[in-house]
Amino acid sequence: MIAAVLKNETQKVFKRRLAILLLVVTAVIMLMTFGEFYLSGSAHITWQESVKNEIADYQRIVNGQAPSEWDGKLPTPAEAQRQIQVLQYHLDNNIPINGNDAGWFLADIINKDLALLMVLMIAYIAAETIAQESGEGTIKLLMTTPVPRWQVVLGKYASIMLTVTIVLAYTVILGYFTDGMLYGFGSLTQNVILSPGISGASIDMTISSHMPLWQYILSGTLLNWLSLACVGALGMLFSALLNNSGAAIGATLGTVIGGQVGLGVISKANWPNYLFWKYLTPAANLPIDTNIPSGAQVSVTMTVAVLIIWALIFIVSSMFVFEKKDILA
Amino acid sequence: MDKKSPILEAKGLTKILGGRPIVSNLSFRVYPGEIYGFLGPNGAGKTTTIRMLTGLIYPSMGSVHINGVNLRENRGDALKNIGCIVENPELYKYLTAIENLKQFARLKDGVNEDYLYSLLVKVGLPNNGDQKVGTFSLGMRQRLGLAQALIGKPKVLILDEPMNGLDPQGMKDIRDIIISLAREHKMAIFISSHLLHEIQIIADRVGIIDNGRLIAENRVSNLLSDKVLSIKVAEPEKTLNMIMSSYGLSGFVKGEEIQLDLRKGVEMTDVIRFLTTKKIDILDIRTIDQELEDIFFKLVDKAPLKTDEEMEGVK
Repeated sequence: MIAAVLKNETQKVFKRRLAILLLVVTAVIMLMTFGEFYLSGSAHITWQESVKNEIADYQRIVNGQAPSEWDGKLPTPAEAQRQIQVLQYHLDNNIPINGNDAGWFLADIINKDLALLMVLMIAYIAAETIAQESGEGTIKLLMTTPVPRWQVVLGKYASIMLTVTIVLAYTVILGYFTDGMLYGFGSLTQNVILSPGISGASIDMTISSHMPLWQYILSGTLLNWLSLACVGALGMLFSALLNNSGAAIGATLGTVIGGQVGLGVISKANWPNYLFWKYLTPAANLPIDTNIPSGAQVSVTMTVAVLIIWALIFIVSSMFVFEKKDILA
Repeated sequence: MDKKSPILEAKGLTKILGGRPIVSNLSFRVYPGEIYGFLGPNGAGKTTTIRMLTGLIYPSMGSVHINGVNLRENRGDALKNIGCIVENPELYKYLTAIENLKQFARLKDGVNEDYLYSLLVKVGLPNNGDQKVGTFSLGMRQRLGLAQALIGKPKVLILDEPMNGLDPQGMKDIRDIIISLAREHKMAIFISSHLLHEIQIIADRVGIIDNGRLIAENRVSNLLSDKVLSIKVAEPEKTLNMIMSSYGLSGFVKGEEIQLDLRKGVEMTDVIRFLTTKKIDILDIRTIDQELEDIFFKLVDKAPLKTDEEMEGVK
């Protein structure tokens, strides 16, 4: 029976939403690639040039001069000296911090720009999935069939995860090829250094945490998928609770965005590390950070565990709520 | 028919919502091949009852048995035996008629595509299979809703206001289908309606619900066996009082005429003889066949039900 439910729900969400989601992603990627190409041509500033500019700024701090422009707190000359060491290592070994070719573009959109868009998309389609059927009354005929209610919840969840997986895969392929055509494909095996290695008080770049670019992209995509699974499950819960898709979408987006704002306020405490909001964008989990790490880093294992546990809590709650519910639509 | 075991049975069905009883202690049985009309004014609890019968809401007390299976305890097996339309047949507007039927067919065992097309023919939509439901009229959606209800070859058909939005031809078509399902396929049909005339034509028995309680249940032929006598006299009020005190009959004055319910072995000739001995001139006298509507209003004692047009206005 569950296979039939999945087939039904997939047909519904594909007919209704897949085309528009793919269209939005296409528009954003076209804007980010062709738009930028049109504005600045292929004359990107290379990563080497920007690293050299950065080193020059740190050099001024070491020499006791004011840097040309600076955001935030000025580092001490000793800190600046160590940053120069890190940056120089990238230059000497030809390890880009943020390259210009397609692989880097992909890493960038998966971890930052499109990660948020995807979260909004899945919040939307998950929150409306049951609530919309309640609002339009189609839930009545569906729930008078012999299918167990929990299977309907699970089938709907699986169908939106399938949808979002397709959208994510489409994003990766379209982003890579569009950007590659304009700026070159580059190598996917080039090294990415996530954060500098530290040995005692000094920098040891040979022990820095690093991975090939393709692995960096893949990890980002998988983490992205997991955070989407978590937000999707949250959306399902509101969808099962509320009888109106607008209210369910509002509640889901409110929870996601409100929680992240709240997290910023209480970021000093330790327990927020167990809340899902912290891990909703992969940039929070896989940052490329040339700064010397201060404080404990959250491990990828922790991210995965927290996201999976919350997703399970949400989806089991959705099934429970929907099982007990009087369908009054 | 009463000797058979019921295919649909409600026992002490009660639903309390927000501290208020919407349906109270409702019990009835529907047998195979029987058309059971479920009547009641708006807000009487018809739809709440139907939602309990179809497993959409849980009864606060009481139980529903379908084909002998307790709906609460064994939902899947119980629901296999029913097909239904609850309120308006809300189908997926962005899917075609046949895609909609396929959606429901997947959730039931052993239904092939040819059967779905044959259902479209049966309900009078032979050429609309590939049309999006969003473009359908309410009448067409009712027809498709009926096709959807028949997919699982159910033993019980539960229809909530299936004549809504149909033109006279549509009503006749649906009526013919319902009658043939009951007579030829021995399907039990539980049909709610505010169109009393329609129920009178097709139903074998009716249950009348008001304020969440079943206030009458009988065979339509029994309910309609009582005759009403319409008598025109010079002083209707006074005359009615005389008849009522002498015979214990009930009645009322409508315009210049007395409308008298004949019961308890009192015939028209008895009334004529009585009025003659009292020297009251009878200006006109005739018996009227009762309609279900008359009985209904007497029992429910409310303003006439809303018409379809008014219902549309409410939504």
